[in-house]
Amino acid sequence: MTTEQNIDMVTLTIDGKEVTVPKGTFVLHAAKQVGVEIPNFCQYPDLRPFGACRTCMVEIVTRRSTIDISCSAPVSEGMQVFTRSQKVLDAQRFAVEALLVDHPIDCPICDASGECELQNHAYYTNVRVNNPLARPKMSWEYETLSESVMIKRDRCVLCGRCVRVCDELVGATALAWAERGFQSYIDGAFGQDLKDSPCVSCGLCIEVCPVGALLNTSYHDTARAWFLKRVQTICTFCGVGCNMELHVEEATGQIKRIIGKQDSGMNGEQLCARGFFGYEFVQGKDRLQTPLVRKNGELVESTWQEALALIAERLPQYRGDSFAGIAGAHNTNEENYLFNKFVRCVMGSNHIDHDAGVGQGVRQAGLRDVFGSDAPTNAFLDIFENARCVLILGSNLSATHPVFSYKLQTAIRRKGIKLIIAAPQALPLSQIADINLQYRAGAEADLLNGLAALVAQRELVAQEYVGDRVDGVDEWIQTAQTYTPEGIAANTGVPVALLEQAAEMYATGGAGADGRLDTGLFPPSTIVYSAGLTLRDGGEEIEYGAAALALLTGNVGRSGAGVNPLKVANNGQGALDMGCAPFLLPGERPLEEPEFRRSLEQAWGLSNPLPSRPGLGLAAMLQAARAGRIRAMYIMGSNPAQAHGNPQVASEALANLEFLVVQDMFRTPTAEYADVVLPACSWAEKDGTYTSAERRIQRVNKALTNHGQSIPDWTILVHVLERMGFERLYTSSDQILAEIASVVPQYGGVDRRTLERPGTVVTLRPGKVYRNPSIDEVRRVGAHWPTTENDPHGTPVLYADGFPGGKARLIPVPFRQGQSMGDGVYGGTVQVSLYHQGTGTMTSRCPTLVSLHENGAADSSPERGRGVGMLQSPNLKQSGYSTGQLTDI
Amino acid sequence: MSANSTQTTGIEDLWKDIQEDREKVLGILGGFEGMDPMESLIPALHELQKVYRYIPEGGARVISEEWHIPLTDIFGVVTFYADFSTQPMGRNQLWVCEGAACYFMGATTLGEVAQQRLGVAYNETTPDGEWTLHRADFCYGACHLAPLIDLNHEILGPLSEEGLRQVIDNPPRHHEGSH
Repeated sequence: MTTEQNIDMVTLTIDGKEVTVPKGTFVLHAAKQVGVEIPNFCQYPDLRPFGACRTCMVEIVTRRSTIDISCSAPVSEGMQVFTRSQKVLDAQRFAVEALLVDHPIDCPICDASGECELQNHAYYTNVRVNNPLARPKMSWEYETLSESVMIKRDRCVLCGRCVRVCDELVGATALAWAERGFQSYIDGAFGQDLKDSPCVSCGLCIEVCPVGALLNTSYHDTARAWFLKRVQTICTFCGVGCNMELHVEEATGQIKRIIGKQDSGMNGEQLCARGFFGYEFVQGKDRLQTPLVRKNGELVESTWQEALALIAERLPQYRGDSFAGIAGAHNTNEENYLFNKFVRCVMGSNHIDHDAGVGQGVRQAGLRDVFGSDAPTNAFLDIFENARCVLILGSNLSATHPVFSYKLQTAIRRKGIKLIIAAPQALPLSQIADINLQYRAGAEADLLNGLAALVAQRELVAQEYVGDRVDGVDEWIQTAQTYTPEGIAANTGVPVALLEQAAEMYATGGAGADGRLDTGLFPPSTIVYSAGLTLRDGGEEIEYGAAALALLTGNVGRSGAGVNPLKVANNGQGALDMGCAPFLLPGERPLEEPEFRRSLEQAWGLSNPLPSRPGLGLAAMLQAARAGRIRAMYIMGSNPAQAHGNPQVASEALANLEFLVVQDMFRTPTAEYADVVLPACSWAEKDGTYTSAERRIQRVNKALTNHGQSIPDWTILVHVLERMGFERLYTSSDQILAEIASVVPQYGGVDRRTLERPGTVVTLRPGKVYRNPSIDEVRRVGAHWPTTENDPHGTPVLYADGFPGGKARLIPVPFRQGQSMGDGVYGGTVQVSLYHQGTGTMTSRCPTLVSLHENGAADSSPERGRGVGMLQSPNLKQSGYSTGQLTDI
Repeated sequence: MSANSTQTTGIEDLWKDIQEDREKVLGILGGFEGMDPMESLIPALHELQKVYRYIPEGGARVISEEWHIPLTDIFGVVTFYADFSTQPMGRNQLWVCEGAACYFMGATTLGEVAQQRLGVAYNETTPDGEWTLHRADFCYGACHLAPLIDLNHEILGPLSEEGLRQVIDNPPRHHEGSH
């Protein structure tokens, strides 16, 4: 990494304040560093300078004095800049007055009023009441660009932020500049509705609009900006873990909109359709208001008293192996931790799992066998900044982890990162891939182990690295001899030449065989896939292959490298970390190891030992329930009746239970089988933490009062435990977090304060002030586990100092002729949608998302001919594999 | 949408959105084999407009897919240049220059004559699809010929009212939609 010493630095003065910045910095950004804000419209963090609005003019004195636009004027040594001189203010005022020639003064009915940058700049530059440039204004009506985006064109200042973020940051290119000069306007190509364009409905164009030109249809005319309480939290859908701000109208107690927050989190202002529009379920009419209890075969409204009493009476009968618990991958760490404690200590059962996604099969532990942990190795920002080659395996990340894919495409396009996509079908990102390996569905293990074998055969192995860090190499190399390029090609359906190109590109970080760095290694390459890919029989062999490929090329424990299985649900990683898996205790510690059980028994002050026999996973649990071996279940925030690959099995299993408790926000298909249904709070109504797919622990903040009689899941568990004879254990989720920090080794030192961001609740934002957060600031949002007391912000790159067991251990997978898993391995039907998550318990209750999905707005499924910003290439048409499914679960 | 957009009523749309159209576009693109798509875009659009007398969205889509240029970028180019149209136009394109020099030399009258003779207003096409009349609010840079007209990319001037009537009655022979 570059250090400050070897960048050329330039010193200049801005309004008398001296500032030193790297050469090439623009004056506007340098000014921000000394706290001087210069009005502007077209400048936007993360976008290339554009110089269209001419508002950010400053006086620059070098040898002579000039007025210049600060967003595109690079700094030079000894430069003097004045941002508030009369000359400057006159020039800025002229620019703003020119914009006001056509901009209507309809502020009283404009959604942007109160947070409009034109309002602010007009005030700042003392625009006069009688605009000397005034003439009759052009006027436009409200028009719709799509169902979710409206435009009022006379308010547009033509800064082009919307067009440019759509292209540069999202990669969608759904918006166009039309015409020129006075006639210019923003539109979809050929005036088409955005649903017919590559628009991904992420809402970023609305969010970045400095005025009220682009409008959010759901928010339009529903609230005034100054009445909105703004609460920072984390998105409740996918594993990316986007930071967001909930805007809550205090009078009605309703969420009015959600926006991304520029100076927080890895996502910055970017959200996806789910994040931006997916809040309506919180206010859904069918939210559970009261507990439900089954009487005479019917679920009827009841009281907490009655429901809890019934649970306390019935549950103790099922202690031990006849009880099972299913935790929720959307629940907080605190809730899942408590749930784990409840199932193992109180109910004495190891039958505990969480619902990792639709159609999941068996949870495999391939990476754990090799590295010692299943966790993704590298933080997202580390990948975007430092990777030189990215291999995406079998996952449609544009639907499962949209914001990750948007940011990745930006990094790829800007930094020339090489991209290899291996997938059975063309994916949206295939359009910008350097190599597309279109393999036969199910042949992932053959492909990865094959690529690793090719790397070994072509002598691209990082010998020194492997010698220092990897065990089992000789045996692995011997087995790898069984792979021939022709054999791999036959099993995977990928031509030999492509396989060899891909092996070389990955192994050399895209630099080619002569591209070794001084360290003897090639530039870093990383592997990314959705963790759902390996949730099936034999899934571990895929991970053995991925791990081998990475280890042999020295790509683990390094910046920009690693193997990254991304959990699908927003807290799938956290659920696993908290021990909601049959064979793992909190902290990913194997249950079989007596010392781990001892240490937990001690930490929890148990008098009885923890049950030692590993329990059943979700699928096996349901089978056991169907067979009558499991007789009672407790399900928190999970919907196995729909999520299971075979709904018939799930239904029979749930119907066969003697006693079923379900905690949920809604009366889900699973709840229909319950004896007691307890109303739980949504994520907007509780505090806690989520751990994202990059191991980042982030804080969730309560924004709304509880809906009806619902209470947070952790509080429900506390009440249940209280009724079962335990003293009241916790009174806040922070207390649970404190216990997690002492019990779960990876979460050491995590506490509310290190996770808290300053200014979490802001009641009034006096106009948006955009600034570029430094990388350090963004890293500080939350914490990448493992954390410690001394380093509460944690570890963005795992295994930099070696593996948990000292060395990693390669596991050979012998070549089997024609033995790829073939079609039909995924069990249930997998729905790939940008607009839904999991079984749709939440998203199907968001009318905006439902309608975006149903009306065929651009999905990320390439068979619909469109994708995230990339154009459908005729070379990538579907090649007719019969599964037609992507492994994106 | 645009103030300049051409009226299309009754004009035959040559783009039928059938396979044959797609092949025609592919044929045009074939002529640019081995060249940089971004550099070839404007010449290719000229070729496309020669065939269809406008830039059909479907044709732009084929270019977008084949050359990996976002449809929005192509739309931006097509609407930026006055010469391209997103609506079907007549066989003859008549532009009356109203730049400063032509204006002072009587362009307004020429415009009135053209409108009267063709029976259409500016930005309209005659019902038989023969003529589309445009007002050029830019300058051709040929002010010594003022007042001038541009007929199918040929500049004629200085023109009297009678001269213009004759041109309209007997337009010089030209290739279909030539430049």
